[in-house]
Parts: sequence; C-alpha cells; structure tokens
Amino acid sequence: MPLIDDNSIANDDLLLRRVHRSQWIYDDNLGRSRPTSQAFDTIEMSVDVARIHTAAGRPILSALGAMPDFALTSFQAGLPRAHNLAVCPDPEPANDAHAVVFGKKGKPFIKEAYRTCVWVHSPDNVDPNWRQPA
Amino acid sequence: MRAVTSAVFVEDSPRNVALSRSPQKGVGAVSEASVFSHACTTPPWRDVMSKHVVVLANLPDNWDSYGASSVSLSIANAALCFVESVSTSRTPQPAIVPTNDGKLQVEWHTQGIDLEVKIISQSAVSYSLEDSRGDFPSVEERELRYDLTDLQRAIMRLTARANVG
Repeated sequence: MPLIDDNSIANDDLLLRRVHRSQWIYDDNLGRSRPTSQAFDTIEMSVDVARIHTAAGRPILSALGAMPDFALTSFQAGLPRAHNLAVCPDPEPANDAHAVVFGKKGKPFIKEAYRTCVWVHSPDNVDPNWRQPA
Repeated sequence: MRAVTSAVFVEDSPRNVALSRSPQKGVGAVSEASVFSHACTTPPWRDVMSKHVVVLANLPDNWDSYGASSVSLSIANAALCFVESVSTSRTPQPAIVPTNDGKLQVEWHTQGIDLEVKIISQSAVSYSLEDSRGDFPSVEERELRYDLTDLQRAIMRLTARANVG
C-alpha cells in the first residue's frame, strides 16, 4: 500500500541510513568513499529522522544501535521529495525516529543520493583498514 | 553461467584464443595453452575478489539490518564468472557489492567512467553507464542477455585509460 508524504518531516530534516560494510565503496571519480548505489535502491527505504533522536536527548549515532559493521550516512528529506518520493513517519516500538522513503527509486535519485549524502559515521570511523584486502 | 561465459568469448578475448585452440591440439597442448592464457589475462586481484565474493555469499538474511535477502550461490558464481570473463590482467579492480534482493552488483568508478553491472541471474545482467569524457553515451539501465559486447567495450576502454598514464 503506497505511503503518503507527510510534511511533519521538514525538507531540511536530516534522514539517517545505516550502510553495511559490504556496501562501502571507494569512488575514484569522486576521490572519496561513499555508499554504493544499492544502499538506496529499495521501494521502502528505512531511515531515522535525526531531529527525533536529538529531541529525545539521544545522540544521532544511536541510529546505529549496537551494530559494529555499519557506517551511517545522511541526506535531507527534501532530496527524495525533489524526485517525487514520499517521506513518511513510521515510528516503531523500539525506534520512534523511524521513517520510510517510499516509492520506486529511479537512477536520477539514486545518483544524487550517493553523490551528495554525507557520512555521519564514516567507514574510516568504523574500520580504518576497510579498504585493505581481507 | 552458460550465457555469461559464452557471451564474453568474443573476438577480442585473449582467453578465447587459447580455449578455441584447445580441442585441436590435444590434451597436453590444451593444458599449456590454458595455463599460458590464464597467466596472461588473470588480473592480480582475482584471488582477493574471489575471497570477497565468498564472504558476500555467506552474509545471512537481514545482513543490512533492513531485511535484505542473502546472496545465492548461483549469483555468486555468476558474478565471479562475469568478472573473470570481462577482465584482463590490466583491468582495474571492480567493487562487488550485495543488493537487498539477494543479487550482486559489480562496479567500476574510475577513469571518468561509472559502470554498474547487476548480476540478475546466470544468464542476464543489467547495467548503467556514465562517461564524463563522453566516449560512451549514457545508459540509464539496460538489460543484456548473451551479448555483452557493449559492456566489454566500456570495460576495455576503462582498462586502456587506466594504463595510459
């Protein structure tokens, strides 16, 4: 069932998404690490709203939980909306900051997301040696 | 695996030369030709890549914490087959990443080329291509079966660029 965009999440609200270490890549063209495009390619993309964590007195890194193999990236809610995607609050019992970016993610959105997203907790913070062969 | 393998055995593949000679030269020659070809065309990162794919194939369900599916063995094999088939000893190392629907994606982001190849099955891939130098028209998303010639051309070009300077 399609979810409806909800402007209780403002365009300048920061959305947080966990990125598993298997989806960290180094982009030579950009000269930096970033999430793979696949980190954003899902119909119902779960995110946390940073403002809700901070309003509750929690650090935004609490979006990582206790998961050691994850980095945390961020983008503003206005980005998916600019690509006609819905941003919807979806609080869960264990996470009142949970929200969903709903809709089929086209390549233009995915490319802009992976090129402009900002690490809140970067791969180098998680593992300084992550680019070395296993 | 059959389609990917056969698709990459086109005229520009050094590996094809060795393999196509094999039936005509007997068992000993087959072995030597194959080993020679392997040594000339195998990328130095091949073993590292293979180990990495094994790691990805062992990810459990929900590896991304958002409900992703695990990667099937057939997809892992198809990805390895694809990478080995389109690469030479000078091809830059691609990234291989899991997708949330249990597939793998092979990516190059170097030399001005952004090339992403999603391994859909043992006989199909989809790819997107962007070249900031304009040698290739952008491809937003295209599915290929059997004939990977366009894809190979892009990989050969990025290999050539990587070895120019």
